[in-house]
Amino acid sequence: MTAAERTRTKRAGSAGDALWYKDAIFYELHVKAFADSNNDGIGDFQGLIQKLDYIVDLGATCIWLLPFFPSPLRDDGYDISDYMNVHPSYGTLEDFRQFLNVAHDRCLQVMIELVVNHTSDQHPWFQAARHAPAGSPERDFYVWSDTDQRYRDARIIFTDTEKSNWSWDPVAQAYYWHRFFSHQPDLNFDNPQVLEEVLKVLRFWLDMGVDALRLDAVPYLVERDGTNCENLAETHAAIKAIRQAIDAEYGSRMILAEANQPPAAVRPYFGNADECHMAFHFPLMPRIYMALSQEDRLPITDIMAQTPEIPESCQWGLFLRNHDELTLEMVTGDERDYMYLAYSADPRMRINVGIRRRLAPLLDNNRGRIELLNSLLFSFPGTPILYYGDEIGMGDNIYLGDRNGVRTPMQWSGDRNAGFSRANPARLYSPVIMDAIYGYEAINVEAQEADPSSLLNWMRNMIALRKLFKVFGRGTLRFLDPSNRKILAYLRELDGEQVLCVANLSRVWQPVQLDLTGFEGMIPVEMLGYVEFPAVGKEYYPLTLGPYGFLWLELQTPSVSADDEQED
Amino acid sequence: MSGIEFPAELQKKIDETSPVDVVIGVTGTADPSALRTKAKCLRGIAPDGENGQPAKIVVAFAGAAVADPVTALEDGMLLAEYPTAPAAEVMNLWRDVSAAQRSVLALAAAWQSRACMVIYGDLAGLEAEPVRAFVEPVVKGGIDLVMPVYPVSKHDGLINKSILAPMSRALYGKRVRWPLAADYCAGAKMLEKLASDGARAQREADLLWPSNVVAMNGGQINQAAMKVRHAPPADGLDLNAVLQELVGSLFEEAEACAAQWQRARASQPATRQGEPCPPVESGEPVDTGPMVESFVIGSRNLEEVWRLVMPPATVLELKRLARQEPEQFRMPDALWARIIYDFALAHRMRRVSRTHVLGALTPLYLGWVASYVQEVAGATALEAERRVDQLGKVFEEQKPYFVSRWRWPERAV
Repeated sequence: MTAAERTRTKRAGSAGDALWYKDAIFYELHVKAFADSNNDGIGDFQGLIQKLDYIVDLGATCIWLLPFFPSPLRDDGYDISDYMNVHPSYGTLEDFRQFLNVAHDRCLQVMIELVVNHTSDQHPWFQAARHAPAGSPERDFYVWSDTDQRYRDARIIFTDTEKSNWSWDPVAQAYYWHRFFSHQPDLNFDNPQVLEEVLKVLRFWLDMGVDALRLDAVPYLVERDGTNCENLAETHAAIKAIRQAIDAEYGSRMILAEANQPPAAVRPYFGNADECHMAFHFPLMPRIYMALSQEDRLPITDIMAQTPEIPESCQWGLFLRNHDELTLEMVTGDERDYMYLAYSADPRMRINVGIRRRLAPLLDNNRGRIELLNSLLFSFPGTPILYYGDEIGMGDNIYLGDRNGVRTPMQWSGDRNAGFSRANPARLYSPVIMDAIYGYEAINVEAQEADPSSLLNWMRNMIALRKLFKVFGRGTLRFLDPSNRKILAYLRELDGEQVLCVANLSRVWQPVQLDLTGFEGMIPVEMLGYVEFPAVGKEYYPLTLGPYGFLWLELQTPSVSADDEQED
Repeated sequence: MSGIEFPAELQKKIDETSPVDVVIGVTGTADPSALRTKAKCLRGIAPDGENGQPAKIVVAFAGAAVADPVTALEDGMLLAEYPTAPAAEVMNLWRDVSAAQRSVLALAAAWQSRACMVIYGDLAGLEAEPVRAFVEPVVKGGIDLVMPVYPVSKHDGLINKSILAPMSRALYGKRVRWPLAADYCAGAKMLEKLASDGARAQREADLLWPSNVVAMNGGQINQAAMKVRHAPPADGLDLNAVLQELVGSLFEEAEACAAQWQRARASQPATRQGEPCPPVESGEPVDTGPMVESFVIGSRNLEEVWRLVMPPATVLELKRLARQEPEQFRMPDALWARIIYDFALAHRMRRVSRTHVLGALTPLYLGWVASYVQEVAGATALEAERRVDQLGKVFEEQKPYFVSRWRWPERAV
């Protein structure tokens, strides 16, 4: 242990339960988009601190912060030029510490990004590398080649902007490797020094008390000829080393893998519970939309059937939308064509291999559809992740470039700039949404807080309800197979607690007969209103659901009251 | 781990002498010489060991001894001082008592004690017979918690009778007469749970509801007579403050434990063992006129808050009650149960400040008291007890109303 390590001050994790992430509700936000405290048109940590009570009231338990580090911002912060600082537009390190403390005081955990597949080309490591002689330790921080023909089997991810994964650097007189934008050179994880530096970054934030790290673009850490350069054994070795460092030095922390892969390919990222604690379930999301559009449960049950078991301490991260496009990389060509037709009539809604739209516009602002999809999000096995603004049904702006149309300022009120900032509207980092349907005057927090029937209040109730039942975060899943395929029905079970979820994917009323063999005599109790339904008998259990309706039914054994107590 | 750390010297003594059989902890400061004298009577409260050695008993009290926090008494008994915050030395509030109880329970857990009896600081309960009645079922019978039944008249302990006991019974599924008690005995399995009591123990203002905690952890609860009468910790405080402290804490407990109590259905009796408490007849008749008047004034002045807390049907029913002749004033049990549940929900939702919510409950509580006093005016103590039990049943019957409103509350103001 070095002298510096001996003098490190480490703050304990804020969560009492080591498996806290299994019961969590994540809320994803960008500091720049949430609240602007100094009226410069850009959100900042002080603004976020002022809005923490809103997140608490929503019921979220963990805030996921998109990158807030110093960066040229050519990829919305995923091009980092200094891993151990805060972008001056958002505040200072001290502001971050204050935010972290205030969040922890409110029993909120905090997840930040560990973007270590690549850096910005402005990062001092890259600048040193391109000026250093070939073969030197500095040069070796990145992946260089004299030819752009290596690793030819690796696909290009940003197909709209990049033609190759190699770019020529005139200073180094060599090609450098980048899986994303050309200004984001990939770090060279074959160099042990790189991993050491990554661990220093990790310790810097975990020492401060950060609870979780999202490992961005994790399948692409290592490259090998003759492979697609994804999910390689050497990549898993690097993740294991990261996990080992966390387990050795910290308690109650979590790492989440961003691996946009089929479920079977994501499974190794959990390892034997010695790699990531969590991983996103990317393929589920488009299939939920497909099932809704086709009014057929098959896309969902099919992808879940392909989803392997994961270690007990691990968890899937589930989401309906996020800061990126609705990615269609993990669906077949036919399915992709179908999704484009169903959900992106205007070509401007498409980007790369996906659809850049928010939840509400994707669902035609249909409240029943929005509620139905959220009911699936909250009742499927995994931890739900909400994207800021979707809880009020915010819209998007497809006329903004890249994925900026889904990263517009949070709509707090009908005031100027949606209450996000008091700056001159022209100075905002992004225009607020102003159209007639989704514009801030129609869709904002203030209005929805005052409206008992608002989506916001519905979301608050649903989240609070989900948090009452650990079965949703930790229980098993078993699909029922009713003949009506417009109905999705599944059982969640944990330690004797059984919940039956039934969802109507159709726009019209649907009847269904459920085979509840094994539950005879039990009383289904509708969970939202605590209403007893008729007891389960020997016959199929009949239910009828309205358009996009859903039912959560707790299967209870009939209660027996004991005799009256003896009296004095 | 309970999360409570002891001074090094005390911890050292604990390590040297653990395990012990019983820790008897006084929740307050005490004169050590008086305790030494009193402690002599406790020698026989727990059975001797297999080799005939006397049971190892620790008598603990709140103190400040640093150098020698544990001294030996006769026959294997030890006298220990546990640290307490200076503010808690005079325990005039339930939160101080609860903090001291947590310290005692943590001390017993550290000592790996088989049982821990907490005794109220006035030492009235520190007698061989009552202590044995509480300790024996735990040590010999494997009971997890023995709660007290105090001898009170039909007019005593009305906050407990009207709110604390029936709501605890309905929510946590155990029919415990005094869920917020000054004296009780807990078994080894529950010591850590009670001492730490989840994250809530970190919040000093929170009271410890031992039977609710044990019920949520599936423990077995009995009740035994504690034939002493304490001056309650809240004596001398105004009613508002007492409701804020006691009912506010019960509501907070409900919020913190919603996932657990919504699973509990129906209720089970907590077996009463030993000699019952003799009935205590009440003295002078109580004049209910001022209480009804407070209720009526409240219905006029607090209607705005009441309408935020309760649904229109309930507010309407209260308006009708306010028009009753004072001597005919009766508040139906179902209405009262729904009122309490609505206030618990409003407390959770923070539609108005919690102080205002609980303040608006005061005239309603006085209305209930007036109704109850008039109803049991001619009843014996036993009949009045049955009446209270009936109220508990109604709280159970109305629980689905509470769960329903809890799960899908109206959120906007």
